[in-house]
Amino acid sequence: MYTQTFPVDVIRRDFPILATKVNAHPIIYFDNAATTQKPLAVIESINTYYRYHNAPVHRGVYKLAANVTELYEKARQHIAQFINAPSADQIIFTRGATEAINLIANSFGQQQIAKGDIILVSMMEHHSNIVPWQQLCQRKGAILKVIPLTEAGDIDLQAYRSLLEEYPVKIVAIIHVSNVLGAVNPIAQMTQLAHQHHASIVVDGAQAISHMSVDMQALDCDFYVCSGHKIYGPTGIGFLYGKAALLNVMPPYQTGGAMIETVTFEQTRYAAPPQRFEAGTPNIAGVLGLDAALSYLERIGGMPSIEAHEKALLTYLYQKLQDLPSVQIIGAPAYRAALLSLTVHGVHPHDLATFLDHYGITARAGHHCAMPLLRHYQQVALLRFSLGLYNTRQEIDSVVKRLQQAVEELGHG
Amino acid sequence: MDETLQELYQDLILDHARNPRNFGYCQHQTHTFEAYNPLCGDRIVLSLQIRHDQIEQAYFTGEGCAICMASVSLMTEKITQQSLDEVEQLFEDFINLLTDASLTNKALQDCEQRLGKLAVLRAVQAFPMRVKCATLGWHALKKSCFEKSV
Ligand SMILES: Cc1ncc(COP(=O)(O)O)c(C=O)c1O
Repeated sequence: MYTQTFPVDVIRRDFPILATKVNAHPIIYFDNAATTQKPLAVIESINTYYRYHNAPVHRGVYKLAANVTELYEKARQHIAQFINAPSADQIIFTRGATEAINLIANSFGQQQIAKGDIILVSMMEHHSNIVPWQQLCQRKGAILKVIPLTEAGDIDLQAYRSLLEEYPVKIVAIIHVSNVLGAVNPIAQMTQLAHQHHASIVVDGAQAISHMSVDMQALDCDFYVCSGHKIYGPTGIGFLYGKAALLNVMPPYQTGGAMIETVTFEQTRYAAPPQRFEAGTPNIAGVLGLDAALSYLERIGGMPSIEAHEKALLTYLYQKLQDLPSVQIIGAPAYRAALLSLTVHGVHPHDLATFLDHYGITARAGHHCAMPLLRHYQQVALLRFSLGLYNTRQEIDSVVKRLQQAVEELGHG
Repeated sequence: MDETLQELYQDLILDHARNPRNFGYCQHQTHTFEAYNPLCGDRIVLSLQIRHDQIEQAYFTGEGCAICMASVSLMTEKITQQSLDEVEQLFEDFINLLTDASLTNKALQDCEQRLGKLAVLRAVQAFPMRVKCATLGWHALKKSCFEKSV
């Protein structure tokens, strides 16, 4: 069993990919914000599903179908419990955060938004939490407005308050943890303000859920979305949490099998949530893999111990980077999850990424699907280091050493 | 740096990336094209003066990684005072050099000979993710020379 302190060396053995090499160097995986690696428990759960349990869910009276339906619904309950949702019926499986936001915009948004209404997004949104709202505004003649940032890179709460006071805001769409700055936004407070002004709030939790405990009842938000692959689970699965009162009256997003109560050629009665929003045969292997990922996280100590481990790593990385004068870290938010983006004077982020990759270090360079945010910082590309539960101080030492070498060998001499 | 990386980031490339030649606009620009790679943010504006099917002057502005900047900088040097026929041949040579691993030795030699200094960018072949960086300026060239004028 695992001990009190976080036994990262033992934990690393659970992730087969960490034993592989990239360009003849042991892999150092620092792109966890893009996707996380999978523990054996997840890989094996998918394997087990296809070997022993494969059957349709919610259909078929035979044993195999009944068994897998039970596993599938247990996974839903597990997710509800993991994020402290009041009921499993409030968890809807999607392909990921992107599909979940599209579902909300196309169902709830389509239903609620009228001409002249205002939708607020922040300056630090991922494209997936901008474009669906922009499209909705275009369809409805509504207006998208942007919550600005403070100098430090936090949400400007004063400006947010003013926007809510000044305009008929119907929906606030906000990222929980920025995938570029690492900023952790004050969701509970923003929710309270939104509700005071009769606006609903949609939270993009894609980057939050792998780094900290998230609690739907404490946050009190109306919707929350996540991607399984960013929390050590499989790709192609994610989920949406919604308040029951909203889900109950929302129209379906896609239609077809599995989401109906009765169908005649004249009329269809839709099933209650969550089924209403899960048309067609779902990604069962993905759901079970995600369930296994959450169980794994609980087994190694749960989110508080993962958060503590990552916090210590981030502090260490931050301090080491401060020693490199040509490195500029973007933003200085009050609370930061275990990721940051930077520029290096005189060396383009893509050249840095190629250089690091050559030594087995996987880091992302680019606009990170947040072009408005990069434009705000007058940058076209940034290098990002995003940490996960299996990263170590030794890895940080290697990365910072190679970064320094890149500065010396590629920089302005 | 180890060898493969050294090939990619050799002195000639770093020198052109740090001190791009022909940076700016032609005084008597006849053709221009802006090429943009949305995936990485590299952006190149090529500014040409073409007279009687010959490139009289070639300038560029923009921002990008070392590979992108060095490639355009070397390209502008190479295409100045070249006929459009020669430029078309250079374009083909350059693309082949970076992307066609099946070139015969003879074809490769001919390519490299025609390209001159630009042949150093052959090292990009070992970094498939970077081919787009190296060819961005060349696509701008093709568009500005062989599609419509301004
Ligand atoms: C903050 C944020 N939101 C949404 C997404 C979209 O997630 P997915 O591509 O898994 O749907 C991402 C991932 O890139 C993200 O970082």
